[in-house]
Amino acid sequence: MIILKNKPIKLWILCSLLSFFLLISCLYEPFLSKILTLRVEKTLIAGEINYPPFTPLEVPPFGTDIIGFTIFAKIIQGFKYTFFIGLLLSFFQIVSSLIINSLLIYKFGEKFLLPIFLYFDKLFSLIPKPFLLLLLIGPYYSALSFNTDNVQPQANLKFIIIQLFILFLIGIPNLVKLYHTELTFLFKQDFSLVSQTLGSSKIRTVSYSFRPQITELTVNLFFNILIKNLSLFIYLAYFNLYLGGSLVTKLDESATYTASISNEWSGLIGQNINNLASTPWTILIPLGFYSVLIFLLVRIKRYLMEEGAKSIHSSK
Amino acid sequence: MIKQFISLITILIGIVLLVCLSYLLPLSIEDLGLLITSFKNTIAQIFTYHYLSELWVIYHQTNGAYTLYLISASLAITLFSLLLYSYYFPKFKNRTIVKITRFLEDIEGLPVVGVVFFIHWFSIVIYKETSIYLLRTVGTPNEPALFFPLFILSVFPIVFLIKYMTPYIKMIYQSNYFIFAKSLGYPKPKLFFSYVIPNLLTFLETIMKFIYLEMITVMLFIEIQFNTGGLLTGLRNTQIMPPNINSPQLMVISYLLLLLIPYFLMSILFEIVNIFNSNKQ
Repeated sequence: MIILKNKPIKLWILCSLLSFFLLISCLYEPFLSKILTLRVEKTLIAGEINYPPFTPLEVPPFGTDIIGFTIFAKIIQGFKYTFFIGLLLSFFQIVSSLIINSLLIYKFGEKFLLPIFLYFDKLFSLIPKPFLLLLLIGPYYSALSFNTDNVQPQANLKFIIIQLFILFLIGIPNLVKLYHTELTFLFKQDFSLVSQTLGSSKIRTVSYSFRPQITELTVNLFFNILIKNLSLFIYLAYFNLYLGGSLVTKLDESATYTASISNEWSGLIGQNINNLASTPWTILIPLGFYSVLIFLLVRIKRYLMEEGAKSIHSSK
Repeated sequence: MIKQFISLITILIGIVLLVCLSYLLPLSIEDLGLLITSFKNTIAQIFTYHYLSELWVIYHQTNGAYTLYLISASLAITLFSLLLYSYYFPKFKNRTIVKITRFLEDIEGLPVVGVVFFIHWFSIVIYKETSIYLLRTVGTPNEPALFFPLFILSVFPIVFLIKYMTPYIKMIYQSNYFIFAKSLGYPKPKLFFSYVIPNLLTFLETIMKFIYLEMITVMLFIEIQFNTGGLLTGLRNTQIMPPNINSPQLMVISYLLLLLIPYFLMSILFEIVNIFNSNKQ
């Protein structure tokens, strides 16, 4: 909690900016969707009726996709899903690895559980991450699209849970390893040896004596894993494995257009991934927002870490 | 040595199991017997002479040399950039170093796919506006693009390496040995080659392996986006067009093995260097 005291003004600005965008995104369904233009099916340009896609100049501010949905509305709507899915996933990964590490500090855990996690960490690092996701999530996606012609919401919920569970499992071994390395280092420190000689149990040493270090590490790892998860979402989108499933729309006899159901940003990128030459704004604008979000998170992490280091230094 | 050999074998078994599992999903969750049968069959197919010769054929057919040449060139560029940075490091002020590290941190977080797409789009725009065909951005497996892939492939490792190595470089330059040698009047280039580089190499071991694996990931997007062909395109294609000749699992394992052979060779090389160094001491 030391970290959260004496927040600098820059941190406040960034956090309020993030909260403001989240608020706008949350207001989309009840309020904004009634005001904003959601779809432009045709428009009159220079006396001629034109059909989508429209460029950002024709339909400001960000144009539309092939079937006329405005990118602006989609970006507002999708932000909360992208952010909260990433946040939830990262939160559960951090909590789980903390719980697992509390088992690893005992001899049994260190001898039997730790090698398993180290093994999986090595195994997952050797296979390119996007391909690993394609290997593990791809079959479920194919099974879902082959089994049901009309994708039911229940199936989508099941699919998103499977996707998140696989993403969760892929991230855990590395987190466990990082926590364990830090804990091993801390247990070798003088103050930890003193605390244990005086009779403190291992779990109490971790929860009480190591609290400042563990908090700092957790904040650092939490932001790192959040940024990593957001990157993994784009990898999924690149291979058309939409978070939460997709809906296929028939444009004409031969062409189809796959749209993300959850409307989160990576899905938005994924559904237009093959149209870079024809409608570049449909990919580059969501990607730009994605990069800004990651940039914001990197900055928030940096300020939090700097403040944490200052607080620990001043408390000494 | 025996421990490392066992670790290598278990990792290879793990890769085979993971690939077999992925081809049986979601069925294998309920039926473990299916997974065991598939695993046994794949292992039996791997240990044949025919399979080894097939690996070589796959390497040639998918233009594997392009992938490995590009990665090697990028590794060389990355190492050279690190050398330059560490040589000129003492000339930078402390504040400049902090600024550089922060800037690199910001870049590092950016999604690779975004950078690949942006560069691709940028070259299209330049071509549309000026009709100048600056550099090849869409190649063919016979005439693959070189400059942009190499540029994208090198940027992220350079950023990562410089960010990661800065504290170590600082530590080396501030060490008592270095300060003492400098005060005795040893020339800077001599100290750089005889003290700084050997000390940096000890930290590079794990990081080079990590960078190689990261490069493979970036290469996947580069190969697909720039249509260059290569081992990773082949790997991705196994998921789109299942091969007719071999079992699909075997093809995936072949590509993964071909990609990981340089990694294992690198590990062995570092191991030999370590053994040599410990004997010397």
